[in-house]
Amino acid sequence: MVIAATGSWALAAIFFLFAPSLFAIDFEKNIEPILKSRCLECHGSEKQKGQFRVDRLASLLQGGDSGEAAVVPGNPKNSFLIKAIRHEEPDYEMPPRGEKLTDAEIALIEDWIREDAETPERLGPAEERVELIHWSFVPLKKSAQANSIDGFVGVKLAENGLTLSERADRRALIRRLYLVMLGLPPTPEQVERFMDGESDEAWNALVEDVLASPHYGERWATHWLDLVRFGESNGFETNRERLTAWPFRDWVIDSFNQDKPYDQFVREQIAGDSVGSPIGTGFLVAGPFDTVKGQDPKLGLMQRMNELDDMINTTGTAFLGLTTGCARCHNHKFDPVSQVDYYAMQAVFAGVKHGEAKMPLTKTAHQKLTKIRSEIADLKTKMEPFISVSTGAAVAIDDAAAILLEEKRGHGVKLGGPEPNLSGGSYTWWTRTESKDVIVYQPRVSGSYRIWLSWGAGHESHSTDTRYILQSVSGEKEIAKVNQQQLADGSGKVNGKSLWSGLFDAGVHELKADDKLVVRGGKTGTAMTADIVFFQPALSEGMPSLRAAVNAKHNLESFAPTPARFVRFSIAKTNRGQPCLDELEIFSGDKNVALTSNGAVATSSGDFVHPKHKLEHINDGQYGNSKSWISENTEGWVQIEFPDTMTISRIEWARDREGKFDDRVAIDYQIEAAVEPGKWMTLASSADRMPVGEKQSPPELYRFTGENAAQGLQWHAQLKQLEAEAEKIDKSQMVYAGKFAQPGTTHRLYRGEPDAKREEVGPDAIAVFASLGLEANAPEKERRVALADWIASPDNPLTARVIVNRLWQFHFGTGIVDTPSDFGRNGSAPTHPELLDWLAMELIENGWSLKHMHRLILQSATWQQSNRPSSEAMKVDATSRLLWRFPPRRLEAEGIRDSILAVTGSLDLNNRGGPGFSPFEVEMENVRHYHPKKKFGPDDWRRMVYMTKIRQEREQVFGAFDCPDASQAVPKRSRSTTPLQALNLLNSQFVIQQADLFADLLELESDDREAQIRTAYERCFNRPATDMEISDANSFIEAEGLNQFTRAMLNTNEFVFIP
Amino acid sequence: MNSLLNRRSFLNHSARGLSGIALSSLFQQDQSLASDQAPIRPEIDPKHPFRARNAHHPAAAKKVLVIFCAGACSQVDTFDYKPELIKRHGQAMPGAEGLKTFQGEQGNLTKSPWEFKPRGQSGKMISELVPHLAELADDMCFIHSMTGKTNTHGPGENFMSTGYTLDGFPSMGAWSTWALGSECEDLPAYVAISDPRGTPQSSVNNWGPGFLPAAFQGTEFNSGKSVGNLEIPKGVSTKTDRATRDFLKRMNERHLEKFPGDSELAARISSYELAARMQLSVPEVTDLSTEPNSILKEYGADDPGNPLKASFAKNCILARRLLEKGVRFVQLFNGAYQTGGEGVSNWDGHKKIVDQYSKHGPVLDQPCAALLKDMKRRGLLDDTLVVWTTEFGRMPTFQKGASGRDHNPDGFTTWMMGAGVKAPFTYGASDEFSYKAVENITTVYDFHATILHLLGLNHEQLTFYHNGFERRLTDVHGHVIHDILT
Repeated sequence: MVIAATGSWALAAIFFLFAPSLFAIDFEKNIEPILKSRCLECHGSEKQKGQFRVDRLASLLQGGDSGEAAVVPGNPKNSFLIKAIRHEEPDYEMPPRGEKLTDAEIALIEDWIREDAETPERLGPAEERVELIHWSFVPLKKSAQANSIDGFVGVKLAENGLTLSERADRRALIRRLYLVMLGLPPTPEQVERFMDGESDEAWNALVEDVLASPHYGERWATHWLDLVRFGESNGFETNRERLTAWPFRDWVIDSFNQDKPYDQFVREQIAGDSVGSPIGTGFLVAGPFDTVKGQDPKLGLMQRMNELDDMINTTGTAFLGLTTGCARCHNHKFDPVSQVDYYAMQAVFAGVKHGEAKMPLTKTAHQKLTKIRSEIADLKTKMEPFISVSTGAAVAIDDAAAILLEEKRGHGVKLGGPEPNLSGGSYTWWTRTESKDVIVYQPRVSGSYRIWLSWGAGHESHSTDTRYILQSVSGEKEIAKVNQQQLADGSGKVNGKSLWSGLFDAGVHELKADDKLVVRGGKTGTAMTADIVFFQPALSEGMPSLRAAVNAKHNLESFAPTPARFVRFSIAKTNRGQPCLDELEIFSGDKNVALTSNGAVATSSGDFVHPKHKLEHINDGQYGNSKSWISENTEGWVQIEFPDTMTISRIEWARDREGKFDDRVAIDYQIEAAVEPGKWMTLASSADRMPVGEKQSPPELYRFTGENAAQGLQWHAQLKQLEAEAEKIDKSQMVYAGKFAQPGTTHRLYRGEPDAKREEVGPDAIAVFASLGLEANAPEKERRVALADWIASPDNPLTARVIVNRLWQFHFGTGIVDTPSDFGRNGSAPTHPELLDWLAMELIENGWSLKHMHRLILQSATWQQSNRPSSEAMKVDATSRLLWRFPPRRLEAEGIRDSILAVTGSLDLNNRGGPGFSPFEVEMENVRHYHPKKKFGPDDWRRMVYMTKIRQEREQVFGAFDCPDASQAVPKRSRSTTPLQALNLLNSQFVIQQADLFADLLELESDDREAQIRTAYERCFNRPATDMEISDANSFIEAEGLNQFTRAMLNTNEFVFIP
Repeated sequence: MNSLLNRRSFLNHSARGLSGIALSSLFQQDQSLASDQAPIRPEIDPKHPFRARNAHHPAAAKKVLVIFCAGACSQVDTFDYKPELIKRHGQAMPGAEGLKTFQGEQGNLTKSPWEFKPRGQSGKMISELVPHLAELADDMCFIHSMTGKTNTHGPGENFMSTGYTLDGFPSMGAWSTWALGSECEDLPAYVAISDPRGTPQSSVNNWGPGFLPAAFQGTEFNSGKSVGNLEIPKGVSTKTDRATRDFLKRMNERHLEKFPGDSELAARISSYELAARMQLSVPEVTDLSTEPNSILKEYGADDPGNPLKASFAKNCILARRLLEKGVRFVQLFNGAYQTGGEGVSNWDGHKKIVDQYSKHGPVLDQPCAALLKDMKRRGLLDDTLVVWTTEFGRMPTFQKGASGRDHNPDGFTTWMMGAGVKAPFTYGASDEFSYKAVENITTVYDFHATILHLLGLNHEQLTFYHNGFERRLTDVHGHVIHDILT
């Protein structure tokens, strides 16, 4: 006690030099009696509750389930043992029964720890290695027992007084082979061909056929996709579609078809981005993803922990058959996976996030894209003469926006006339009275402007001498007298059809801000009209026209090259809310000179304060709402200052280039430039844009006028098409395969609570098996590569065993280990351990070829034996685990559906890969809702592996056949039998339609009833119908019709069970 | 009796047993750790998957009705009376400076806009939002200290219905019917009655089978929407349909002759017979035309002024009819996924709680109260446990700048009624404002453990092995709340 109180290291060191007996606390005398009487019963050599024992030093130091060190020498405060006996830890109040330790006892233990927790040698060393003796943790062993599948199976059968059954008949064999390997029945022709040859070679050739079939990959990918919880929606509340996930599904199919070595298959899924197969990492993010994020920071951390947990667990169970998830909160109870191991794995994946990644293009796609891009460039060069120059500060005032001085009589509508028609769809007309002013246009501009007039024409009643008067402080000036029966250029039929006149050039005039243009009655006609008028800066060229209305996604302002040091974007009005710009781009040539990275500085009238919305986002080069600027007030401006004066000719801006938001769009704005502060000149504005919501005028970048207009329009159409193609190819590059970034530090979390951070943990494998030898701050990619290398190593005792067991399971219905994702101590023991090791070694020695394993299995007598029951054998082994017969089982959902489509002749086997087809109509609410489709056509008749896998929502007919929804990894489907399955197969529109199609097909093939029945049996069961079956079917069809016969056939047990 | 499954479980046990013995000398410590209580697997006859099975111990309740108010129904405005909140209305909540909940910052403490009044003999204070339900105060067993693990709706509903915030775990109804089958084989053992406005936020997860066999998923239908594919296809007469089934049966029986003793084949034949019975019994149970007018009126099913309430009332009548027939587990939803804006179609009153709850209250109140009274009258409460819940509670404060309450999983109210629970009774309490549970803090795991216990099931032994884990409804947590049991 005195020592502790002085707290001097020198003093402690002196004591250390002397013998331990000099410590104030003696373990054997003071501590051990307490431990013996109060702890040892549960934490001793007999029992180790919570994996903790107090009679071994290593256990005391390491602690138990909690993951916390029970004793930290010298530091009682951090010693979990103290917290437990002080009852400071919920659920760890020790001892759990009987009296709490006395204060004196607790103080003694604290002192013992404070004095470095010395223990005598018989409590063992500070570290004890866990010896790996569990069957799956030890290296693969060669057995002398046998050297073939049949040999190993035979030994076990003999031990139990059983033998293999006879070989199944050839029809059953070929049907079984197709169903197991391809998930489809063979055609009657395939069966006949096989029946013709009797030799083993015929069988081997058939095996090679199915292994070479592209449908093999489709069938076996389904098993793998279940295992890696592959889905094509995010799950959780909103359950949005994941449109770019399908390439991973195709990648898995291709991997099986190419017989990609399994070790490589594993590597590519964990670290494909580093080994030339980036789509493979779709594995990491194939699981559900909660996109609803709240403001509560702890919740956000928990969501992230869950994402990583999903990756860690799936990696552990899929490849290693090891459950690691328990170790998130405490040391694994059954397997040697500690909490530290768990967080070491978390550190491996800590840089992986859900999302799309850009994939390198295939060579062909790349070539195609290059070609298209050069064509686009050529076209653009050709089209340069058509590029429209902004009318700059032109002001357009429509009659609807002008001030009426006289009450109008009406509108001329459905206007013909010159294109593009800028009339807004109507003109206004009045009864003419000589010298009476009817309408005032007030442009509020000053300077030299060309004035363009327009009116309504086409009627004999219109005046031929309507006057246009410019009024200023200094007096009036008549600028035009026009014939309103005809068009601006003097042409046009006067036949009672309303026309827009087109633009009439009324010359250049000096304007002051208060000047007005009025329309005044002339001397002729009963009616006079008015339509849109333009005031165009005198320096601009060409005829003015209205540009497209602004939109949320992208707006372009192009203008004559102008020198500028400052550019200011002022917004007077938006469609809703305070103005938002996600990025303001100002181009000098092709360079965006507005970027901060190019030295530009942004200022504003005031900013709305929010993490997503900051001034710095206006010129950070990043698009989208979450990287945008919002003005503090509903009016406001943002300004960019360049380091030097630049010559600029183009500005691009948007509310949200990602297209998710369409509020806050500037609809009344002005963009100005200045070389010296304060000396602004207008570059562009909303004044010459169509109002939002009106019909769009021609494309804003180009204006096609003049004699080559037709050619220009044609080029333009071509350009659009090429750009669409290029975008499609470009988009095909996006795949939901995760996003990777260097992570921060990872900590062990006590009880898995994000706010209970403990020591830092670096990336690593499970310590008892291997160390990856990485630095704590190792580069993100290296972490995954190292983990992948360890898993895919031939020395890893689990990897090969786990995959051969899975193959076995999908062949025989149950694995040699019937807990396929748990080879740990809590899983089942193998029924044939020697066989399992032999298969695993075969795999490794044969280049990790899965097709090699299939060959071995398919050529075995074990696989080829009959599935008929024997009452004698069933007494010994009712579930056929020992394989005295081929265990019978029902097809999975996919097998049933694809078989139905196959026998009815509907299945589209050629439409392989690519985006899937959906069994749902999607209701596009924020929270997506998926309603089962009601009508089906050929697009729905692809194989089910191509059906878009929506989480939560099971397909309405086949989902009931234990089809998982990809929310959880499924290593082995359950196989239930329910009345809902019966209802679905009997009554669903999908099956009824197929039954009808099947009947049509039978009738098409033959008029003869008996032939129809025979064909149906051949197609559905791959065997001839017996006489009795024919006669029964015949009389049934007579009474109820062929469609009822086909409906029944698709519902039979023989159809849905593997023979 | 099903020899196949028995054999399998025997083999599994013996295989593990054997390996256990072989390794016991090496892994002494594991033996003690493996499991305190061995799993109890239901023995399911594949021919009769829904046949009633034995419970683990004598059960207080045979059936369960869960009334689920989706969208997070506010405890502050219904059942959790806090005089201190009224007293300090308009003041800042102490210790809540800088507190950020789901949608962000909090404004001041805000008393319920609905007045609380003492009810029944017990004098339990319940608000005027649910006056009809309040009449049943003496029959209710309140838990005012419920706590959740998430404040997001989807995961919250998952947690309440499946014990996990993640998707893909079996719902409590799936666990119950997997273990116990049903008292009525002609109807689905487990029925989810969705709200007339649609499915809840987390949709079918609420009644999903997770990794349990598909047979034990909830079958969704309500008074306006039947079971999918139940009807005979258009253009097929009943006679023809019958003949087709008979023909199918003949084919299947001929096939079965070659596989004597293979029960999976026999089970599939039975499933078609069961389906045929369901085709008769489902339309019968959903046909409310046999209900007297007095019942329709009592539930509010004839209310022309509030069609939504009338539809929900019909769902309530359907719930009673299903329970009368012996359906094991019925989930009755009030509130749907978010449509038409926040809190419009469910109890998610963030911004305009007075407007929104004034609409939701009457839809729930009279029909639900009528259902409970009707059940009581008919003696159904003697063997049925009724559970009222929601995914989490709401804040005693209004959100900053809004007139509604944000999510709050740290202390909310649920109640039970009927078989096996004390009434009137109140268990646990939240703090003076109804912000956090402080007395007898209860978790959703405890809640689930208690429901299973009342059904005669031990929540630690009702396990299903999946992907390396012996999974439970209660994960590795949960204690039966013995204090509320009769």
